Amino acid sequence: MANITDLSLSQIKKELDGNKLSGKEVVLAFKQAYEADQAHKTPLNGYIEFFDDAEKLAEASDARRKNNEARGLEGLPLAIKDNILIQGKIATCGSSILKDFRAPYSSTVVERLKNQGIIPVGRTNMDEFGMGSSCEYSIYGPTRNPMDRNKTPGGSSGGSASVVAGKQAPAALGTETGGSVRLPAAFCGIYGLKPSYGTLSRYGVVAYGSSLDQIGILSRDPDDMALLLEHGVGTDPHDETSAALDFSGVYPLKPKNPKGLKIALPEEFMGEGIDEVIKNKVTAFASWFEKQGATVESIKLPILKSTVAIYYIIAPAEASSNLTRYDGIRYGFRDEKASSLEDLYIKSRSQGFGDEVKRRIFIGNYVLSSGYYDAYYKKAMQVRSILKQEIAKVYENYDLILSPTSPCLPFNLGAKLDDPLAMYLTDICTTFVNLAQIPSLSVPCGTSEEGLPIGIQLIGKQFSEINLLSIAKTWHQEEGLKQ
Amino acid sequence: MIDDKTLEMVLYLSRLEVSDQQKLNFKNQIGDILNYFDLLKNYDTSDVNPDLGTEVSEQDLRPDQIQKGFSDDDVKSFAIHFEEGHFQVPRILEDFLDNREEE
Amino acid sequence: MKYDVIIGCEVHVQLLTNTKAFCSCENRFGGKPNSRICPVCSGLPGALPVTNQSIIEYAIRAGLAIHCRIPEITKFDRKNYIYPDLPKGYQISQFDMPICEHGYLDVTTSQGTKRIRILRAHLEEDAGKNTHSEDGSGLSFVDLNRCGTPLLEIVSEPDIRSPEEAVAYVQGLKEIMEFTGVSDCNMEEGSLRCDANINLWIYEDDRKYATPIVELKNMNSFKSIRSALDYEVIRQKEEWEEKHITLDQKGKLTRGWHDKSGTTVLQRHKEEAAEYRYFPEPDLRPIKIPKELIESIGRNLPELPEQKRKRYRETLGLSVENAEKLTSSPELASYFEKAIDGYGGDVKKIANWILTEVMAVVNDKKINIKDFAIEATKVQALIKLLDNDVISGKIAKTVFTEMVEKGGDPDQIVKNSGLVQVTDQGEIENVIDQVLKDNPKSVEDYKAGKAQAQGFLMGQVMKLSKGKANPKMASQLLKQKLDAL
Repeated sequence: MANITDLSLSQIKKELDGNKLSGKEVVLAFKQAYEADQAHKTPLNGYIEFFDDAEKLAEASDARRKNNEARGLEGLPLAIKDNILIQGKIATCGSSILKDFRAPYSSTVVERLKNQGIIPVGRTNMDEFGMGSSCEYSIYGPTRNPMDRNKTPGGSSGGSASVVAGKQAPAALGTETGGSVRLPAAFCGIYGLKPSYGTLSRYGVVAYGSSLDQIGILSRDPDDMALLLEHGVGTDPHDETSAALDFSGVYPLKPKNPKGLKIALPEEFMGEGIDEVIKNKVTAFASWFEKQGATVESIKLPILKSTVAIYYIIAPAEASSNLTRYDGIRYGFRDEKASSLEDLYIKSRSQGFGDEVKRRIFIGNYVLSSGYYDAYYKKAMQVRSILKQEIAKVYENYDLILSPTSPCLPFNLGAKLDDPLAMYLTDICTTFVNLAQIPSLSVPCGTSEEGLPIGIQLIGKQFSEINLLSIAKTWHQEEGLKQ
Repeated sequence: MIDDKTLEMVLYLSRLEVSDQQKLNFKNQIGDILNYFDLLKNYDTSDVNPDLGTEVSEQDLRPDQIQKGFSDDDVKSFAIHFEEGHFQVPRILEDFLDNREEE
Repeated sequence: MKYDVIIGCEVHVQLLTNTKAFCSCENRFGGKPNSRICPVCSGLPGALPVTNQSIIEYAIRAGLAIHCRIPEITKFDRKNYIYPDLPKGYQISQFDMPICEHGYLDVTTSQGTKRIRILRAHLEEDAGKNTHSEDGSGLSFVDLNRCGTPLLEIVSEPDIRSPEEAVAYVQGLKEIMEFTGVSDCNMEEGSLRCDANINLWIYEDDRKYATPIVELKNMNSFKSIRSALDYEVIRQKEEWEEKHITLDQKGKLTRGWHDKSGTTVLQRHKEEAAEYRYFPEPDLRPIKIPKELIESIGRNLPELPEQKRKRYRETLGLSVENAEKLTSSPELASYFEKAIDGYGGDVKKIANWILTEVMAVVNDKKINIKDFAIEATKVQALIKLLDNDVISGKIAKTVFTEMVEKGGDPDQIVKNSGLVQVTDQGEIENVIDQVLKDNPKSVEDYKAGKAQAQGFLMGQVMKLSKGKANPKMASQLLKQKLDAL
């Protein structure tokens, strides 16, 4: 048998269900991988904390299994991004302002997965409050890309991508607001799913941009995603925006043959500003689809060029409001030396937030203020409506949209830190998916010559994530496993 | 792009303070970003409604049934200062309130 | 100086739902601080609001009662400001699509009846409470129990033309909110709060000048609403005479009413004040209100106080004053209506009995009529005993006192204590004979033409019979006997 740490989540499930492995062995294997990497001269720094109680939980899980009480996800380890609450655990969001915040309740998705036997093994590093595309804006320092430690793993769920690609976890939960799961998945050479808005409850996920936020999954096999979705979806009485979905029986995925599919390839993402190597991979991926009997057509969708602008108005606007609660009054960081209430707010927040978060709070408050509301926030909301309509039109004629996940290859750590706009433009291919609230799967499609991973997105209409995964499974079995 | 008055006003709304160097950075960087936003001006939105999300019918809202919330111990587990059932804040709060009452 | 007073009111009422507006914590007044809080109402990271169905229905009920239009779609917005009692840093409120629009309320003052237009009524959540140590420890405390309590903010047009009218308007709203069961409108507990915008239109040199609008806050009783507005009229008049400052020059200011000093004081107003950065609440979906729901709530709307008063006067024949008094609270009106239910006699008697005897006890005990131990049906039973000459008015009071003190049924009490009225002619004559014998002087007086002597003798008869003699019979028999002497 291969190394435990090489196994995907669904492979581990098979081994556990067949009593070939114990839950404790599995957890220990990943823990040792993590500890071994800690000794590296430049550790990946994907985990902020590997949970001490993971082994104990695995033992308890093994006992359940012995008693024939195994549940759907019994004993499966999962890494969790540090903005998804787990009762009793610290959740910092990579921020000083929540450095000591211990969650008094669990997010719905973690609660549901735990009830099915998932063992949270650790919490993963991230750009502060999800604001960043390189996993460098964290008080815990940058996370590194396991494929090349000088490169960024992408952000904001860089920690989750790094631990999965770095074989310190079989799968991880991340969160997306504008590409924060798919970009790191692409940069690290793994699958990254951004489900439709509403598929997974947002309750207990620390809010960044509420109309865009969504839990995503990072793994090395599409089946892992189906497994987690099966147990994670469903209406949540704590989240009005959660959808009434039932995914029972979707695992294991039935591979779907792309034959007869009509696929749209927006030329806006195949022109200027997109790395040639990436474009070539997209072309190759498109050819694979055509070989399978699908048709791929280039389409014009000029509004895609504007989505970063819409996104960087709406997301900061919502963020500026969502982050006002970090005021030093009830929980989180308080500057005890403050001399007045105003001073307490300003000092606590100014010390508690990093520069990028401050920048986005500033932009958000700017675009919402009375003189600028119409020109920026309202305008962006209106153009978002147009975008949704135009995307819906595309799906009248096509089954899928295909596009690069990132316009560029993983870049060096530090390369874009001083140029926020350049950093924002890393999200050029991903944000429209969040704005339109549709699902997208970033598929690892090989590497550049120097071995840097490239991801390509399969984007479907709302709530068609299982369809995306089923198509990806065909590709995974025929091509993906060869790589 | 952003004048000093606006910069200070928005910083105050944000309850943030930044160094003079950062202020300069903010002005330049955010100026660039705001310029970039101008590309939205190309869209005629005069008869477009903002996207407000899908509606929910009144019948599907939360039933009005009580559920138990936090115990004191729950609150203590996350609060900065929680004693005798209260979140405690230093005297400063009172000063502020007094100010509010006066001219 | 010729001028008009221009007033608009913003009235907040807390809704009496079981749970808070956006979480399942219990919604009620008081209690141990921070004992009714959860991740949502304490503004924890990751928590999300979920709209309570009842707040929509309560708001529709209130809105229909004040003749508002209920739109097909309503939505919530965030009103952003930072304050220690506002844990999320924003208040969930309604900005441009309120649940109630364009209603009115007819108010009656010494000047007659007048229609005050209502611009809108919108739902929002209440904030927590800050308190301050008085022991010198220099600490402040935040209690979040009230956080998330549903509020309906009712905004009038600036149609009110005097402090008296303003009070009548708020009283009218209070009644309606109480009678529809939407709120208990307890001003002391803050479940009804009123802010007022007031300025003057001054007519000088053939022109109209508007003085700066003042938003008055901190008025915690009807008395303080009246006093604060009266004060403000005079203050603005004097300020005008002194400084001639207009609305265009100064805009809107906020002043707080200080009960102790009887003055209004300027409150610090920040430039930020108007900068609430409203935007649609992304955590909540716009709400579609089915027409059938509005119709069904409309059909089931209880009788409102004004309709009740009219019915009491016109159908039941009560006086204006008694109709007014009996509708001073929904509980009293309901008590009265239960008491007259199935009663065949003159309901004025029951009305009088409730307003005098019952209310005397209720007021004395400082309780709400709904907590009064004697059921309304027993009051009816007592009055029936009077109607049927079983007991006299005097005995009725004795019986009632016993009902209050010991409980029980009026019929039983009367039977058990032998309080049944004496209607036996012979028995009454015996008493009269005794009285005439004991009071020869008065008998002489009567014969000498002093009519009031009869009254005295009648009193003696009642006294001797321990109040049990049927007064009508006793009076007739006494006169017969006197005249026969």
